[in-house]
Amino acid sequence: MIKVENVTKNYISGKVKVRALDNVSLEIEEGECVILSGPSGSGKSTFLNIIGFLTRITKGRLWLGDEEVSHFPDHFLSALRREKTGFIFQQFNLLSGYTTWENISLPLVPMGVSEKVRRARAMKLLEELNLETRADFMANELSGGEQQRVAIARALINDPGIILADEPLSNIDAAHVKIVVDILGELKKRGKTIIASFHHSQNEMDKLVDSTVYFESGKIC
Amino acid sequence: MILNNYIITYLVCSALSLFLGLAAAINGFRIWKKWDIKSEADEQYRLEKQVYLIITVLSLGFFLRLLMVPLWFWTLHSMIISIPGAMCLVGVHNINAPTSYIASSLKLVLPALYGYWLILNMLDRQIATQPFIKQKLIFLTPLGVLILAETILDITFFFSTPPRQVSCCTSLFDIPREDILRVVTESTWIWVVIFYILALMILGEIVYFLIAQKRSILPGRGRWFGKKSVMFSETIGIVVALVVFIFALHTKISPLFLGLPFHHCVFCLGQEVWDALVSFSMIFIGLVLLLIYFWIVSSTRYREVNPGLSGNMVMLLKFSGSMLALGLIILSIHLVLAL
Amino acid sequence: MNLPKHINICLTAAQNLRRYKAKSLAIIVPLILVMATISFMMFSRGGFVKDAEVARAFLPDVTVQGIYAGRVGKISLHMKTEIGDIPHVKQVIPRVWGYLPLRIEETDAAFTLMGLDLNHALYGKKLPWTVDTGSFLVPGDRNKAVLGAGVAVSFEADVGDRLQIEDTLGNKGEFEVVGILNDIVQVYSTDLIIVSIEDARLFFGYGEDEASDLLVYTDAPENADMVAWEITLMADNTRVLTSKALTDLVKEAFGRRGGTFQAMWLMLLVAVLLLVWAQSAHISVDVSKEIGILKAVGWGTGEIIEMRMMESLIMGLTGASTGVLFGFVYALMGTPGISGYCIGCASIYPKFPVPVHCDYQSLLLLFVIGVMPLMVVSAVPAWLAGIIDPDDTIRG
Repeated sequence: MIKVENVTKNYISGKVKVRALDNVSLEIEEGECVILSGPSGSGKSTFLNIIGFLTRITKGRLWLGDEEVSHFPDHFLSALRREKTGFIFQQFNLLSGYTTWENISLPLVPMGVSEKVRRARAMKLLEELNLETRADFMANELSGGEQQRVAIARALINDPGIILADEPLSNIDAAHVKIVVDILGELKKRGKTIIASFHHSQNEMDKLVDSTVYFESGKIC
Repeated sequence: MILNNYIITYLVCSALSLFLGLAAAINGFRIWKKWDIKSEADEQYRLEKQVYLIITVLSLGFFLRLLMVPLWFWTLHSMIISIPGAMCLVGVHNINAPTSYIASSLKLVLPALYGYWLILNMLDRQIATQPFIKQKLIFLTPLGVLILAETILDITFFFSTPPRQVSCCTSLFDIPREDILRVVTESTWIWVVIFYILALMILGEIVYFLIAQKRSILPGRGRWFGKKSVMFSETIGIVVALVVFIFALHTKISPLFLGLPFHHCVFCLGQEVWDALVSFSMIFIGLVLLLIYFWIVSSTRYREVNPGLSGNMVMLLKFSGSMLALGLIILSIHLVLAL
Repeated sequence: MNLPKHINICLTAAQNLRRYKAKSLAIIVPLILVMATISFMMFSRGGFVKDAEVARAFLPDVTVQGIYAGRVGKISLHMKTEIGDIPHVKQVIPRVWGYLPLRIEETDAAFTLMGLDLNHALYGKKLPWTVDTGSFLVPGDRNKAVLGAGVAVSFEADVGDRLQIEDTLGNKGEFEVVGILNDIVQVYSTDLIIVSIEDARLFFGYGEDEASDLLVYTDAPENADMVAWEITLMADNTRVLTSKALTDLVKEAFGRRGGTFQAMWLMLLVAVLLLVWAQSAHISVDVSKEIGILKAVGWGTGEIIEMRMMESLIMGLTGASTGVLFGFVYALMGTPGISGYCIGCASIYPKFPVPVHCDYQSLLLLFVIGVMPLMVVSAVPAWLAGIIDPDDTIRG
């Protein structure tokens, strides 16, 4: 269970303070698929980053299960990121100097998993995603759709309970949209909590969604 | 002023150590003043980031300090030829005593203090509330002062070596004295016996704690954890054991191991008898780690986090006990062979 | 302690250095140059000091020289008996020697002509050299010489050749070369021309009862200081040198010279460190993005800092090891090109091979000098990289 209670998040850019989230509260149950919807700049990505432990809240409280994690120090948050959540980024965010399998296994490096095991786990995921032939390609040698699937594989390498996806369908062609939606559907079947943000409504996701949360000007409407 | 490769290398290390120590102390004090876990998240996050700089600097500083221990004694050794009358490290120390003796003592004390900080930091980082954070931040201030004092002593030592004849270990230790020093210059077994009694008592205490911990009947749980009196009494006990150990080395063990009835020089012993050096180091490390153990469990914060830390603390206790026991075994074997 | 984690981070750091080859080499190459320079000086200094220590075993326990008007001069042989009567003195042997300023192939090479009393058996035991080619002088040999390796090379002389010597002061002599010394203790033997004491007296114009110094051998080396003290009390106009004092003098001279050179070259190391600082403190957009992504997928601030520090450690160890290796090879080759400027012995023997000695203490000093400053300079840039916010990177 993820619980967000009266959360406010400010960003400071020079002398300007921008309120990205304003007193937001939400509770997401385990195994739920929640869509965060709203226009650009409405705060849905910030919300996703907060529940993905990528950034701190300015005010309020954040709960993961029974534990309040609002004041967790950085090394606890990074452990949560690699063990509890898998993040699929809008821009894929693969490291260009690394091969496909190395990109996928990056979260396992600070966990002390040996290279042999890392590669084996990455290869298993690549096979599931029909990308095994691309294992030793450099990340920048892959197509957009392939990059998105590699990014999904990286998010799944630790078998996390929570999958966070920021605009997962926006940078891929129609053929790949179905593949990604099928993957998310499969994950939901396995009991994963899926929280995804979309700029526009996505009909392809309708059958998966348990609830939709609409954001506007940093608030939940 | 004497300038050779050892002195230059040592001075470089000393400068680096001072830079790291002062950076940690100044930052530590600033963060300590502002640290408030419940404050505005952004400000707290900024402080938390700065703590990482301190951890980086202290970890690096610890390795540097470890390197500086042998380097310091090699540097002093390299100066023997430059100081008339000096035949070993005692002569070199005497050229600028007591500065040199204080500086040498700090070489051993500072790594122990760094070790305390790093162990405290390791424990602190295992609990989300970081219970020791303020304690470890403010500890950096006296540490910084000590490093500064040590650097000043080192510079004074190297840059103002007077051109004069010094007395060395033979003249220092062989002539019977009428003053209080006589008690530690006479060849007697008494200090060796007292040291063994103390060391065995300490080992017994460790074994008792470990058994009690295993059976979950740790004595005084909730009573003496977090009490300053525990830290005080254990500190006194261990410091007494260390001092008695040095007396034992000086009065009996050195002449016995060196095979020269009037040669009491602990420095010569360390250089010439390697297994003795290993055993002394182990005994020293064992006692210092034990001291660190008691300092931590005597912290008022420890009561709040225990038993969250018990696993690590048991490991620390086991390690310090093993070091002490192994050191004693090596020393005892050498003593038996020497006899 | 999670050792596999640290191994993984170390391997990733090594991969990063390979990925950013140009940047890594820009730091490693200057470090290699500086470390090679510092290390060949340290190894050469070590060679001289080691030579001095080895030579001490062969030196007389005490050397007594005459002093006239505050300067070293001839010593009268009547002192030989007086010194011989001092307790613990085993033997007193006269020696005649002097420098030969010669001009060979437009160099300012100077050699040492040494006349030995060939009748004394102790020489056979105590000489700091062995004969490589030919044989050593025997009692009764006249107009014969044994040459140090450096002399033989300079004169292109071999066993059986006749060596004509005329120094710039007009002293003349002609000797048959009967042997060439080997190079066990180069600092003492390479510039030597050894002849009989009678030939040396003739060459330098000494009287029958005169010598340059008296070599005193004691029954045990521990008694040398006491004997030296007795001689000092007995004869005012003498300079009494123990073998320890002579050895310490060489150690002191080269120890301080080594220190001075190291201090100078450290300036260059500081320049390398500034380069490292400039390169590491500036975090490019690409690097910043890479770190942000690593943190977003679960790397912590501590792990990023550790990775960056590992990169510095690997660079430092690579640069220092390679530099030390180059320095050692260069020292073994005789520091071609600059030995005269650095070591200060080119004017004595033109083809003198600089001795080399390397021990674990020197290696530790070199690695401390090469690696630790680099690590310290990298600490703040590593921290700056470590605290990059993943959120900032992801949001662009």
